[in-house]
Amino acid sequence: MIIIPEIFLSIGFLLILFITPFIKINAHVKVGYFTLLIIFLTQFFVLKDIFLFEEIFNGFFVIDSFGSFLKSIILISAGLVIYFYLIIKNEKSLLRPEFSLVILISIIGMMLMVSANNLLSLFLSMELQSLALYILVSFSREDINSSEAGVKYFVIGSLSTCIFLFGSSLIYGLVGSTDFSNISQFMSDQYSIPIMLIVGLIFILVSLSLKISAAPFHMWTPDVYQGAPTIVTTFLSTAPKVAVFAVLIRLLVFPFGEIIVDWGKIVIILSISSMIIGSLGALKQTDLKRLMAYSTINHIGFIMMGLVPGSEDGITAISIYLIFYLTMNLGAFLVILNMQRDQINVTSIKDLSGLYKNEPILAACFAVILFSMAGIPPLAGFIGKLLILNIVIDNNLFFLAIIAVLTSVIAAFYYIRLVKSIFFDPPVHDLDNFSNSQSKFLLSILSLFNLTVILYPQFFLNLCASITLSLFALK
Amino acid sequence: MEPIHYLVLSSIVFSIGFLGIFINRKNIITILMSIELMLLSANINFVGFSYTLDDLSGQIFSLFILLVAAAEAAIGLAILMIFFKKSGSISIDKISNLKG
Repeated sequence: MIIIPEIFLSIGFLLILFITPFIKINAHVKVGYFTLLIIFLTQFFVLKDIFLFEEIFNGFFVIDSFGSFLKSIILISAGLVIYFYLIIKNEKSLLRPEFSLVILISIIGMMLMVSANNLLSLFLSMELQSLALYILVSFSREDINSSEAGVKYFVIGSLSTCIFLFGSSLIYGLVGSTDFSNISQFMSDQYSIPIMLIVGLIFILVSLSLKISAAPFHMWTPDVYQGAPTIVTTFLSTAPKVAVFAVLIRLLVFPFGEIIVDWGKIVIILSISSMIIGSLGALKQTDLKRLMAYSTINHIGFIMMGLVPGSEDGITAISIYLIFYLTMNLGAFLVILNMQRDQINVTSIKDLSGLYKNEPILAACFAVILFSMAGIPPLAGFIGKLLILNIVIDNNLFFLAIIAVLTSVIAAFYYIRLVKSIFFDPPVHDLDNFSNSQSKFLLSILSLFNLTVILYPQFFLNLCASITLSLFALK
Repeated sequence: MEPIHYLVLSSIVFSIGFLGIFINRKNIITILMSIELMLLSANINFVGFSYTLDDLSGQIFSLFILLVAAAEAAIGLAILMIFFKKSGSISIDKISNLKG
């Protein structure tokens, strides 16, 4: 069987679900470790089939190395989030075994999303992951902010689903099929592309940008990121973004590749507005989670630029940037997760001041990650930005490159403001000591990765280039 | 019936649902109803196109949409219950803790 990773995850999920009621003591920890084990084993099944190319279930899903690679990235980041959940001190309302299980369901949804090759299977898998994410955001029942964020996320997410469905119904009405290869066939047969098809594509693009939080459809992001429990915010800003980017690439490059002139303009507008809003909106924030939300919007805008030429190099750069983005985001959130004062989580920027005095090594690691996010050479974030800018300039989109550089400079301001408050501001109120050594270890590994990636960039380039090749082998 | 008739009807229903989300200032249940309307407008499209194209996959798609709409309504109402327990109201004006 080709689709064995998803089947294994589903069976593992059901198995854990059945044994959960019988675990009496410390159920959330045990279920968490079981989930980690399942994810770890699934990784092998994914990597085993990484060189395979096959369409399965009548073209409903496609297995290729691009999909398998992104699946393994999703699995790694989700596994790290569950590991974070196990090692940090959580609020009481999060200490329930369902937490890891709901994350597991959304991973199944994301993995199916990455390999979906039909609008119907894409819709169903996208729903599977979003329904799980709605539950996760409103998981903390004691906290009114969490349920408020849940309501907001639910309304926006359902709106995006409706828009997606309306767009795909228009495309179905024209093409007579929801299969990606049939859509592609239809488009190469047409002499001029009917306007209704473009309208349908715009609907789908709007819905996907609502999911990926690209401006001007970003309104929900800061609220949801702030209200959701921090561990959920960590998950929300990593794995789903990779999955939606995989969908964007698969949808835009393969079936709609013929009308690149039309969607290219939309993607340019989306990326410019995301970069501007992501950099300007963060300037006035006082809450770290809100700031991370705007930083995510900024990064998403930057990644979207790589999609504009629709070429192989662009997608290679996107894959590399996504990997670096994940390491930076996981590192930054690991620090935010550990910020506690008197056993209560705090997320204000002021709380960071004077962190250097108490925890010098940790502060240095956090500073490396912040500099990497700002794109200071020679850190990982710089290499990602360099590759994307290179693609953009190669395609003569100079104004886009200028806006990207200017907004990166503005964005660097608020990252460096954080560094300043860590190193030079007098401590206001001491935070609790970062008690666990595991998160210190993980943070130093993540920052070390960001530091040393300049020594072996060729590895990532070759890896991602060979992965992207499979996406274009079909054409 | 021409396909354009289905398209006009579904566009009207979709617009009613869309405006219902943004103009409505009362409570969140109305938003849930508007979302149902929008999902149904996509259903009208699929069934109508499936009839004119003489192709079954549109009807299958609409069955799946009904299924997902039920799951979504269940989860939405559950989230609303949690919110109501904490805040004591489902008015839209009350959803303003988080801003900045």
